[in-house]
Amino acid sequence: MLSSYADTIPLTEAPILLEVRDVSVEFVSKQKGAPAARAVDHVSFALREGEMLGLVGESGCGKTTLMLSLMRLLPAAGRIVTGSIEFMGQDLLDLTESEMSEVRWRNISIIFQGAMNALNPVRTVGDQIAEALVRHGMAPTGKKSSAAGRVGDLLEMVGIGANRANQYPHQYSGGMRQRAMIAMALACNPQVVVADEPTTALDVMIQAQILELLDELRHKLGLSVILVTHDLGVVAEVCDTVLVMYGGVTAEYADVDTIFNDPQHPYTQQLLNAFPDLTRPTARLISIPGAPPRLDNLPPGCRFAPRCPQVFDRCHSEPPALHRLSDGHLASCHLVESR
Amino acid sequence: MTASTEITSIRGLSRTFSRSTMGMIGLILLLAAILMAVFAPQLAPYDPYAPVKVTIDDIYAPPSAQHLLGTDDAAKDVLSNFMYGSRVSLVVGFFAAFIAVAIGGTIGIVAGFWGGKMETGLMRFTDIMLVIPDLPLAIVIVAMTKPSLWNIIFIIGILGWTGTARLVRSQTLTVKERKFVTRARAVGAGNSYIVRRHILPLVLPLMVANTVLVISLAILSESTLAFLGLSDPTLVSWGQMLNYAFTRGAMSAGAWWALVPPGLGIVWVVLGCTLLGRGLEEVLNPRLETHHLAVGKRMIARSGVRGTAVADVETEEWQVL
Amino acid sequence: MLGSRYVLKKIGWAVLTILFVIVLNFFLFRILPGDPARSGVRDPRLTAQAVEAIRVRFGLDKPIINCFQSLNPVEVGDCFVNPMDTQFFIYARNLLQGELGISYHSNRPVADLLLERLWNTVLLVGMGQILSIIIGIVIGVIAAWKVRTSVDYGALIGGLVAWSLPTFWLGIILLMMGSRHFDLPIGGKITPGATYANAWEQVLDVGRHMILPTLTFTIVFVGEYLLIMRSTMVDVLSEDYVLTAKAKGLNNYQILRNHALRNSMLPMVTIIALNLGFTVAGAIQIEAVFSWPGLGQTIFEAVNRRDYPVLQGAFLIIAVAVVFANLIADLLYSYLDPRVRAA
Repeated sequence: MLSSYADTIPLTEAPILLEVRDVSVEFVSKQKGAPAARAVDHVSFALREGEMLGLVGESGCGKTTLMLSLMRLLPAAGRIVTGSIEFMGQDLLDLTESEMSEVRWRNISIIFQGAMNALNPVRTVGDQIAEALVRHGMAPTGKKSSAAGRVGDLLEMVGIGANRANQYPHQYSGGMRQRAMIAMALACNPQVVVADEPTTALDVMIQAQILELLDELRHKLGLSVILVTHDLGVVAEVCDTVLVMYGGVTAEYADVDTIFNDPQHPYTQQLLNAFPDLTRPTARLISIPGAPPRLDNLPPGCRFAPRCPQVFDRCHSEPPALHRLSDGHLASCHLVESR
Repeated sequence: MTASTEITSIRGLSRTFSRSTMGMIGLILLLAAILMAVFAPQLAPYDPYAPVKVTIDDIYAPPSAQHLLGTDDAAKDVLSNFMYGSRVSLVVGFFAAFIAVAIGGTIGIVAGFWGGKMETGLMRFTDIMLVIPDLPLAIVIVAMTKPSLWNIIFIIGILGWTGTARLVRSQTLTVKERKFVTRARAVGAGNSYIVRRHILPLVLPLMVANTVLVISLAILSESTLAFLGLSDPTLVSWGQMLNYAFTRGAMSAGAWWALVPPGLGIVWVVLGCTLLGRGLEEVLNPRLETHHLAVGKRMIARSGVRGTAVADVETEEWQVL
Repeated sequence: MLGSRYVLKKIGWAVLTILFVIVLNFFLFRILPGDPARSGVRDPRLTAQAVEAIRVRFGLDKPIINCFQSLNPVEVGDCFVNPMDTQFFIYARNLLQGELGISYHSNRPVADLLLERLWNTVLLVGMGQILSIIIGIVIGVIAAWKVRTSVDYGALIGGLVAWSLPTFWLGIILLMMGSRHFDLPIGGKITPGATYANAWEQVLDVGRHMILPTLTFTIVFVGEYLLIMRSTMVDVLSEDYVLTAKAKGLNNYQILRNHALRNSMLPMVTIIALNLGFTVAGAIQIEAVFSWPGLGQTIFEAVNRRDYPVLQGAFLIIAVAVVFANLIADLLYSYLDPRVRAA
């Protein structure tokens, strides 16, 4: 008998750091009476110490919403309607707003996509890193100036000269800005780093460098990382476990080898077909015919049914349950049952 | 763009507009003012242009059954003046705004569509005109010419186009890059054809919304000029009523009825135009009125925590983990 | 370090705009029918000698500019006259020497007349601007922060109504209420015939006279500034870096102070500068209502006396002041925004 959802994927014996259990997120509609759109529907996963989890899916499948829920940074219309998010045994959803603000960046930090906009254009990069240090009491005298040494070390660590701390974001190249964001994310020695499509809008060479840096740093610092991406090639390179999301639900969840060698969900299989060469990280976007479902207009049965090549009658009427296979991996597809 | 999609889109727009409280209030205010102006001869108890025999008691007479809003410095009925006065405001507002938007729209489309030196020159000129203060210039020009209705319309019109020019130019620049415009160009369509068939239909809605806002500015300018003594002496207008009342002792006579109604009239029409214009802009260019600090107090609205239901494929047992 | 190219470019534009204003000011009034000196010359009561004397005194015997003897009616003239001996260059030379012509009404130099009143306008506009900008920003920030709540809707409606008020009418209403119920002076800058024991008493008297005009100014412009600040602030607070700041654990107050205010002040500086024309319009109306002895009241009086040289001079001074203020705003912008600074 399994005691925890996380045990379904017994990849390592490392203790569980973050456990997301049955989280659903809805967006309430602006118009009165209109039903709320469910962006994330009963999703669970676990993150162990030192592990990198790949969160994969097309745009609009709820990846970013799920990550924002971890930090309780949902936009005004967002509601977490079910579930719990346990960090080191503490349910983050039970904390007060000010307790939560202590956890942010100190324990869980996030690297947003598009670093140009994620950095304030009118303040220096060093100043913005120092701000995080001061906030969490990691500047020796509590003043920004006293954090200069640490800011310099952080920038050096990501391959930016300490002397560039006084420059503004527009003086950095795109890749450097993303490195600066990584330095900022690591400033307070967090246990978990969420990297939300950290390489979007960068050219292929720089993408590879950034991912390499991220992978190197997580081994060096023993970080746990959640890498949000739509690029399975990237996941193959650096991740330990993979959660594939489709239309707000878990499509498949397993360790990386299982996902690549024995994918059960037709969606995962199609994603893999889009990447014939898995040893090479590629910038190509996933190309599966059709588009993901609109959250306010979900199909009644399986959400992937309209695009699924192996679809049959039952898929259109009955949403599939999450099934656990003998090798421990989870997939939500009617086909799994008959195997 | 086919005719049918245009019609449905206009229908869609009007449906969205009808949901904008602000826009609807503005529309109602403006329509009511227009009705009053059109039917002023039927509605007004007296004719402001008919001569009256004046006795001393009739000057600044307080509101009474004969004169619901009292009389002014010339013993005229304030309510009748008020009703007729709306005509000048609306006529000046509409025509001056039409001139301003026609000039600004032309400059904006030409600059945005043709680009190059033409654009640089026109926009530099627009920037210079934008900086030059309108009202002092209008005062000088009106004072030196005759302050007739049409002079005032013309002067407010040719001084009020700068904002429209900038707005229309940026909209034209966006539209120009659309697929069907580049395609039309590739097929060899002429410039004037592209402007007429493709650019104008997409710039026009924004120009209409802008016109309504320019009307409110024009009405404010007209009433200010009139208050300063620059109005057509043959026509009753709200600004002129205020000028006469203010300079001819309404204040010391305590005749608030001569001072309050014309001002409220201006606020009524200007507010109507402003609300309508903003409502239209909102429909055409919807902005997400929210931001990262506007967090709902109810972000965490859990109806309870349960585990994830997982069906074991081999044992066919359900587990809640 | 200010980007010197940016600064030079902005100064160049300001100079060009002022030149344009000068040319406009000259030619517009030579083309329009109500040309000051010409209409004076046409006065049938004047003798032929008097007419000639006026023509020489105002330089009307000279051609307007090379090739044109007169513009209304158009009269082609000699193209090879000495440019310095044409009306335009005489006008320009006089301008450089600070001469703006002679007032018809008081027979005094327009420049003196306007300059002695300029400071009163600056005092009133400065006071009103500072108050309305501060209050407008504070209300605008609060409305943006509480976007789509009753606080926000209240500010929005209040702002729109204030914006729609004709300035002069609001002045009249406040004047009626203030003088009747609060015993405030009905106009002017000082109490007529008052003698002061010391400077402090004089300041108090001027202050009492300033309450109502400043209040009028503030109400009208708070409406405008709060609407602009609100929408600018909503835009800034939707930026990704605000989400980053929140993810860093900063609270709302820290985010507003450290990230949102400075960034939203950038567009505000430009908009405030571009609105200076409206500011001037507001000042003219307020001074007319409260008999505040500034440029606006001078304009009001000059309109009623058809004192054209004063009107033209006032327009020129106001236009130059507005262009200059815009230049300052541009330079301030470059100081506030590192992206421009580096350019």
